[in-house]
Amino acid sequence: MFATVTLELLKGFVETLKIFLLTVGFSVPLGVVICMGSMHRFTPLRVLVRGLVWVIRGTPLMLQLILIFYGPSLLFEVQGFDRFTAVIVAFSLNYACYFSEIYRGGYSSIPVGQFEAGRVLGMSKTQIFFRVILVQVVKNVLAPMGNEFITLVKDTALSRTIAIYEVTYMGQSFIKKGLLWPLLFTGVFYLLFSGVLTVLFSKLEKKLSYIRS
Amino acid sequence: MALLEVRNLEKSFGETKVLKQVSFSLEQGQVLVIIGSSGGGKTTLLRSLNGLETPDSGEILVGGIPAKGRSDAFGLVFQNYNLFPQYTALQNVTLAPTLKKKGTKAEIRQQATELLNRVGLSDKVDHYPSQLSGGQQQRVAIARALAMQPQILCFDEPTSALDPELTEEVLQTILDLRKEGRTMIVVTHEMGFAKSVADVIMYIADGVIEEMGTPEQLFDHPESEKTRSFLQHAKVEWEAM
Repeated sequence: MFATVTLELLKGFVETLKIFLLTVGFSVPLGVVICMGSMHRFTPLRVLVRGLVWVIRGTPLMLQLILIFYGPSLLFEVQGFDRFTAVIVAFSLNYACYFSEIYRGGYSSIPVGQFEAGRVLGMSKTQIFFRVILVQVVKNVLAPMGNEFITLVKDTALSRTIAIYEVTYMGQSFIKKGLLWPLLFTGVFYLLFSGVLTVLFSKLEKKLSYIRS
Repeated sequence: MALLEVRNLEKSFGETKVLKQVSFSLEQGQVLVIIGSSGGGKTTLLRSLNGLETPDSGEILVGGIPAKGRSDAFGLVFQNYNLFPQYTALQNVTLAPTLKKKGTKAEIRQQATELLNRVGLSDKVDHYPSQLSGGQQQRVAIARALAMQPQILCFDEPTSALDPELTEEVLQTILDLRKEGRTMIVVTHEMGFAKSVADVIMYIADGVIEEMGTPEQLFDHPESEKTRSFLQHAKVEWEAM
């Protein structure tokens, strides 16, 4: 029995892992784009992007997920996303908005003297950004990003709302058979996963700890 | 011909005029020290020379050519050093010359090592800024500025952020550079140091050059009432330290 349950949960965990990795893969770079928009000099663009961030951060991810899955066909009568794609779109957009704010904070906290030092040394804006600023921003955002990654691990469970067979869904499916422990067992998967991430991030933080101004 | 020629420099921030018709010149090898109260315009003048502020009007010529956009005209050493924390002392010095292709990698490295040696940090080349004291960081910053071979090296209150026991090593470095015949502009509050390093002293108040002359002229026989009053106050503070 234990082997059967573990196997089923592992199948679900593969889905969880796919959602996690794809969301990270899309939202980390998309966050940069949104961050650039939210800091842009052109006011209408800035207002628009900040409005989007406000809406996404101010409403439940579950609501966004449902809307993205059912919205296109019910509102516009067009073919919408399949279930899995809808999850990736909703999660990526949601997390990108959170990341964009973390990036913005990480960038804003770079002392202006760093930019000026680059300028008086004759470096171009691009050179200053890539050679001086970027690593410092990465260092600044590492801890809050680690937090978000761990939140994402657990948020993947929301995808069961539109019937994605991720690990919580699989665990819950055993309740029909009168078994509760498989659901509790899913907790081990989440704990192990977030444990690995915690170790990974603290290693990265340690690696960049020599950067102190 | 003077190495530096500044003509009718004007700069306002909003309604406030920070520099009013500032004109002066500096000869090759001279050290100019700028003194004055906070908010008088001395830092704005220095930042304008270095391209960190855009003057509203006026001209800045180095060797007869406008300084704007040239990285070989001025170098600047900041009050807070502003070293790049992710790079070692040596990498801080080599970064800009490498990007600007000032020579081969080996040449740039060689030159940077020599510069760090000259500021007394030959044993710290592989240290990160966070592993250095304030005085050591400031000396790396001096080496970094020198690596771009600027014609005029500027210092913006180079010792204000340092503990008193660390200022000496930085001031000594600047005095050594003077001996080498470097043209320098130093903004400072250290009157004793100003006196010892300057060929010319400029007192700026309310965006105007109130008085300019040799240290003897300015400190011992100030012409303007404002200069006299400023020096009186500075002297009281200086002696109180």
